Amino acid sequence: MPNPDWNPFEIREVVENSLRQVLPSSTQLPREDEDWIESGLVDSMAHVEFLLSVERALNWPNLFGKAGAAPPQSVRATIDAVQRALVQRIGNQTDALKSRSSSSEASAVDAGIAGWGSALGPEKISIGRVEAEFGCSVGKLKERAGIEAIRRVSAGEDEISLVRLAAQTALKRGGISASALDYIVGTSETFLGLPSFAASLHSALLAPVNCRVLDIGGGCVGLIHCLSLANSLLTDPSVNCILVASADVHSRILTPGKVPWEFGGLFGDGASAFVLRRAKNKEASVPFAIRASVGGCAGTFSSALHIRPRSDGSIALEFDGEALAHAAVEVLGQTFSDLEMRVGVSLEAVSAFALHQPNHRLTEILIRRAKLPAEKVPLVAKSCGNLGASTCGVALCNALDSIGQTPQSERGPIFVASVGPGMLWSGIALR
Amino acid sequence: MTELLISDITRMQPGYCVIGIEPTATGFRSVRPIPPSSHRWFRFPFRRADKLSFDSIDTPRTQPHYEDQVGANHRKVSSVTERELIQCLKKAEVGRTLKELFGCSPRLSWAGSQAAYVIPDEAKRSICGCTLTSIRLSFEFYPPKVRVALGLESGETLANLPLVDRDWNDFIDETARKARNNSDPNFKIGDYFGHFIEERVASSPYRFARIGLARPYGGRKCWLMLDSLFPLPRLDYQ
Repeated sequence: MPNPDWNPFEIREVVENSLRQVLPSSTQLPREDEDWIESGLVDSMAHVEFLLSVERALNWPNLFGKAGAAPPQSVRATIDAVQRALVQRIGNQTDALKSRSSSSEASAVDAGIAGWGSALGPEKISIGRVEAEFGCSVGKLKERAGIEAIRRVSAGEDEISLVRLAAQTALKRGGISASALDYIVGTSETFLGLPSFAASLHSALLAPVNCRVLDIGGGCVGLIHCLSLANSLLTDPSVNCILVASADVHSRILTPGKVPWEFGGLFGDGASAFVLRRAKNKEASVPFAIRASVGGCAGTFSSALHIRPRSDGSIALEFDGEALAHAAVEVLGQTFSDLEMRVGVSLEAVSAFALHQPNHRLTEILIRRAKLPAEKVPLVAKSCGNLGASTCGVALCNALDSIGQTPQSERGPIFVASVGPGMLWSGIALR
Repeated sequence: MTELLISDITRMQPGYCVIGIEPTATGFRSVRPIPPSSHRWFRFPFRRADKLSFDSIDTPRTQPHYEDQVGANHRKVSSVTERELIQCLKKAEVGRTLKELFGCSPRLSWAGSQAAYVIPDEAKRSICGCTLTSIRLSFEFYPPKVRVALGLESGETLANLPLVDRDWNDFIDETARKARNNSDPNFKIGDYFGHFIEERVASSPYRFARIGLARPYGGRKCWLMLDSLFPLPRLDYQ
C-alpha cells in the first residue's frame, strides 16, 4: 500500500530517480514539461520501464493503469498524476484503514529477531587442497573465485547436527526455550530425505508437539523466504515465537567426479538460525523487525543453472557461470535500490549488508558496482565458500554480532539480499 | 531482383516495420525490406503471407540488424496460407533457448518490469522464431501498449515483451472498439483476452512466435519485442 504521507518533494525524487534508471547513461534529466516520447528521449519500452519503476518505488501496483488516462510522458505530468491518485486513494481508504487499525491488535511490526546463531563445518580446507581434489590447475579457483578456504563438516556430522548448534545458540541468545516455539521454518538446498529438514530439527530440539514445521525452498534465497514467511505468520495473534533455520552440507553432494571444479569447488558447509519473537507487551519493542520485503522470480534466467540428481546417483548440471554472475550482480544491486526506496534511507545510512555470496569475486564486483561501503559487508564466501541458503544467514549473524548491542536510535537498518536458481531474488530490511 | 515471403508486419509508431523470409539452400533466412530513406514504412500496402519481389539496393550492414535490405519497386507476386507461412518460418532462424534466439544471453532491465534486452554488439541477428508453451497478455498500459509474457520450450520465460504484431494489435483495438460501442459495462479487455489467448493460442498446434530486436535505445539496449504471434487472430474469434 502506498504511503499516504508522500509529499511533493518525495514524489519528485521518486520520479526523477526512476527516470534516471531508464535514461541512457550520461543523459541529463529532461525539462519539467518535456514530452519524452515526442522528443525521442525515451522509447516506448523505456517509458513502460519508467512507469513501472515509479509504481514499484511507491509500492503501488497498477497506479498508472488504473488512472484511466494515457500514461504521463513528462516529469510534471507524472508528479501530477501521482498526486491526483494519492488524494483519491486516501479518500477511499480512510474508512477502511480506521476499521482495520481498530480490529487488528497485533501486526508483524511488533515482532523482530530476538536471537541468532550460526555454525560452520569445523574443518577448514585450504583452496589449494580443494583444487587438488577437483584436479584443477593450482591457483585457478583462488584466482577466479577469490576463495581462500572452504568449511566442511567432519565425518558423522550432517545438516541437522550443524543446524542444531546454530539453533541452540539462537535460542540461548534470545532467552527462549525450544518449548516456547510455535513454528520451525527451515530451508536446506542439500537435505533431500524425509522426515524433512524442519521436522528433523524439530526432533533434534525436542520442540513441543504443537510446534508446527514448514520446509521452504528457493535454494540460496530460502533463508530470506523463511524470514519473510515467519514475519507474516507472526501477524496471527496466537503465534508468538518462531525459529527460522538453514543448513547446507554441500561436501557430500558436490564432489569431484560428479561436478566440475568451477562449480563444486566453490561450496562449503554451514548453518544459521534466528528466533523471531513478538514483543511481550504493546509498549515494548523487539529490535531487528522486518520493515520491508521485496523479491520476485525471473524465468528468463532459469536455464543459467540447472542441477538435478540423476537416477544413477550422478548429478546433471548445466551452469552458465557468466550469465548467472551478470544477472546476480544486477539483481542484487537493484534489490538494494528497492529496499532503499521502501524504507526511505540511503545506502550510506545502512548499518550492514548481509548478502548472498556465490563467490568472493562476485561480492567484490557487487560492492564496487552498487557502491556499498565494503566495511559494512560481512564476508563469508572468501573464508568459508558458498554456503547456499546459509550464506546470507551466516552473514546476517556476523552483522548482528557486530551491531546487535548498538541502541536502535544509533544505528541504521540491515539489508539482507540473495539470489537463487530460477532466477529468484529476495531482500528484506531489518530495523 | 529479390523474392520475399512477408512474415512479420509490426507497428512502429509512426509506421510499420516489415520482415520477410527468402529461400536458401537449406531453408529460409529473414530479410527486412526497408525503404531507401527510413527504417520504417509509413504505408505498406501488402499483407502477411504475401510473396513480393523487389529490386535490391546495396545496404550498409549494422549490428545486429544484419537483415536490413533496402529495396524499391515492391510488387506482389502471389500469397500463401498462414499454415504454409508457419511451416516456412520453422525452417528459418529458430531458437529453443533464449541464448539461441540472438546468439547471446538477454539481460533484464531491473528498473521496472524485467523487460529483456540484448547488447547490440553481442547479438548476431535481430529476428528469430521459437515455439511457445504459454502466453499471457497484459493490458495495464492499454491503449496503446499491450505487453506479453511468454514461456519457451526451454522453460525460460520473457516476462514483458511489447506486442508489436500489427494483426494482433488491430484485432485487439477492434475488439475494444466494439465493446465500447456496445457499452458493455462488464467487459474487461484483460479478462476477455486472458481467456481467449489461453483457449485459442496456447492450445493451438500452430503456436509459434517471432521475436525481434528494436533499434538500439541509447546505443546500448536492443529491446526484445513480440513481432509475430501465431496463430493469427481471426475475425470470427470476436
